[in-house]
Amino acid sequence: MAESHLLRKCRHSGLTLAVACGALLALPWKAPAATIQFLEEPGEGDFNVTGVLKVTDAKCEARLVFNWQDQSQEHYLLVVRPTEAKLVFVSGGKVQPLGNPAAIKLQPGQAIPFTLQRRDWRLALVWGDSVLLRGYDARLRDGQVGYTAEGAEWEDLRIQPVGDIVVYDDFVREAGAESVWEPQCGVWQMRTLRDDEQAAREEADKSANAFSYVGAGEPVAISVAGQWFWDRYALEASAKPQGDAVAGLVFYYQDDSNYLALRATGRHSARQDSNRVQLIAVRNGQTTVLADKPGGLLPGQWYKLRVEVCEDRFVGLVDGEVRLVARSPLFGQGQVGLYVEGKDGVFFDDVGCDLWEALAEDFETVVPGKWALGEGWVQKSGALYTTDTKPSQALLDGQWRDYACSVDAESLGGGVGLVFAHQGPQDYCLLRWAPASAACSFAGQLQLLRVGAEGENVLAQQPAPAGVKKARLRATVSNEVVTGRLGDGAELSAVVPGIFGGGVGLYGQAKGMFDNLNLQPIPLRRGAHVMKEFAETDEHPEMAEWASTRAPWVQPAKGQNVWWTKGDYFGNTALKFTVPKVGSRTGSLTAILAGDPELGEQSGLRLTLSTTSGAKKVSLVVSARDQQLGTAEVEVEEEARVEFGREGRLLVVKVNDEIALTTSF
Amino acid sequence: MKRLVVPILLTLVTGLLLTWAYAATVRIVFEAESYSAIAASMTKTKSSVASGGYYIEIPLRRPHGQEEGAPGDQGRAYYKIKVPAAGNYRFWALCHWYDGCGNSFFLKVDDKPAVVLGQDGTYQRWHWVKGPLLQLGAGTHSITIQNREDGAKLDQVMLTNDTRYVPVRAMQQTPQYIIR
Repeated sequence: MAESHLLRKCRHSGLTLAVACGALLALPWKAPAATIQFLEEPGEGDFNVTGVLKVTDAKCEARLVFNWQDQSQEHYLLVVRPTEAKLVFVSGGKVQPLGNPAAIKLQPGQAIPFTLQRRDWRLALVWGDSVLLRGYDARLRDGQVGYTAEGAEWEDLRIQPVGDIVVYDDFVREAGAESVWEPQCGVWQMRTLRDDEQAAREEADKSANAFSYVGAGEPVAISVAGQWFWDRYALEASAKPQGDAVAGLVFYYQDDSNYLALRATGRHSARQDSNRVQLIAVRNGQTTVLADKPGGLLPGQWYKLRVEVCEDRFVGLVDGEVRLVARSPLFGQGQVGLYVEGKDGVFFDDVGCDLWEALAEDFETVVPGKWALGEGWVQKSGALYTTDTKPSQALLDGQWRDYACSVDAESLGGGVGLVFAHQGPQDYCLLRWAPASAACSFAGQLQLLRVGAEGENVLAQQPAPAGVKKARLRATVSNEVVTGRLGDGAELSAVVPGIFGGGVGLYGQAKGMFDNLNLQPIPLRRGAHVMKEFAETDEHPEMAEWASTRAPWVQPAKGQNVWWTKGDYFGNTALKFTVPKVGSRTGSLTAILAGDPELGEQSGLRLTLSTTSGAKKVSLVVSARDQQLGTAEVEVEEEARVEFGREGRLLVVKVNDEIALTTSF
Repeated sequence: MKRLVVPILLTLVTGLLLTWAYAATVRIVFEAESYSAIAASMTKTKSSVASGGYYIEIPLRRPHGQEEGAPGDQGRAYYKIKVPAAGNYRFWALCHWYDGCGNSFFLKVDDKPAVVLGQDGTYQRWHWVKGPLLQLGAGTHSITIQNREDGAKLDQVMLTNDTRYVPVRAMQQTPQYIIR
């Protein structure tokens, strides 16, 4: 029987009224085999549906409808039967599977708590304490949520909207103040430099601020933050273990007997498990090691711990280095937290948690609905192959912003490529490559292209390395700059105004093979933030250096006028500042990136900005050493919000969010 | 026909009971600018990104956070709400903090002692801040948002007796619960 026939709609203002009115209306005429009961609240944007499925009959069938479109009656459906659960897309009476069905075993009397997760492109079902189903589809947004059930009851159905995932804490607050942290076990307290026993040895000019959060406890101390429905995030914190203590981060936290964690033991600890870094799962109080490597932490030293969590894949990093990767279907969502084992305790500082919308595709399993494959594409033997002689693509329907993606690509006689920043069939970027012997139009070239309505535009290219037929293609899109690279070769880059992200896919012309597609967000750059202005230095002398507007800066010596930052900044960096009331005076300033205080203000990459009294414009000159690299002039109304940034080998100047000048160096 | 009366009545009674149970879930949402009264230095500010087009704030002072003592003034916004059903209500506030020295308000409900709202470390972006769990009777209640630090902004307030619910974006105001 067609799904749409089964799902005849009963429009009422609320769940309970629907129950009552449905019964009333049912009296004079025969009720349909199944009628959807719609919840009062629609599912808008990203959301979760939570509840409990109670089985009352061995021959049960329960359906949860979501993203129901009033006009077209298209919708997604979760179908639960005694031996199977599945996700499908329903349109015009036709049913398309989303992901693979899962085997289950339902019996009368069972009551299973569940969460249905609806995200931009992803769908998932957390069944009990594990993820049972995953599907991928972005065709429907918003719409109503409803249900039917025979031989079962949906109980306590609720919609929880899902929004930003964000927690930052630098612990700049007085002891005892309210905070986002909820200690679950162990002892947790705020510490300031004044009562830190190491205060005497610490140096103000080498630290951002004097506050931290310390936890201690046996067997563990855990303090959590965030929300129960967070499911894709990167959590990081600075951690300084003391003595024998174990430092770590908690994710997908349910309660103190059920969570996942990254833990690192002391390098010279007396513990049996000393000098290890591990990803662990704690389920019903029982610990399982998901991944394990040698290399622990030294006591008394600060480390940056980080976990990146998306779907069932977890990556553990220490000081920016990937140390562990593990997979587990457990929990599928949960709060974030700080983790300590031992009475000696661990100091934590600069905790940050952001959305982490990553992708890791190994092509081992065919997932219906995930890929939109063009002519001649086939997934087999753990890889994706293209065979068509004409250019064609295999695309994912997700959308990402500011990301790096990469894939293992092999030419089997043709050209291969990575599609990124994909907004539509005539709006995307492409990094493609073909060996000299390949049967395609770009043989012997590595090309970075922008494809628009007017066709292909080669942004940058270089000769392909000789003799190479298999290599990793890497591309990035971030902040209106795109880059591409083959293996460890030189980077191609270009500025593309208006480009911040989009979908990803693969490109082939004639025969090629792809494997291990990886996508991860480019982490947000954190500003060197001025924390606090503070004047009571007589009362709090220990605060004088930290708590002032000058905290991130070294005050220039007498007779000099260059303010250098205390810290060194590496890689892609941007300096942002605002010039108020442009035209009110004549003057100039110079911003320097990658400079060296010992070499003075002529070092590094420089932007000199000038204004003239009475003129509503700013003049820009970018230079390196004694060489002028580019100039521009920009009209402004009132103020000029300037961003001078380095993106790989490019320098980009933006004024009031518009690109004003780009140059390479 | 008589045979139908009993099931119809039963259905109606069941419906009414279920409707009552459903109505027991309450969300009271009001815009920060929907105050009954406001006193300086609390200020109403126009914004294209704020829900309803306005937020209220204790404007940033320069130099900022110079003193650790009491707030510079008694700036506040005053609200009156009608709570339809007695219960425990979670207080939520959609806030924007300047920095660690501009990340809180005082919250005062009826004549209870003021408590601190905020003190989290999410700066320079709008986000929902979890406040206290309030035991409220049915009827009228007063809420005061008061100056604690400059650089703190408030866009919306939500009270709900569904303590599992977490707001994640601006919500529809519920004028039926606001007394102006």
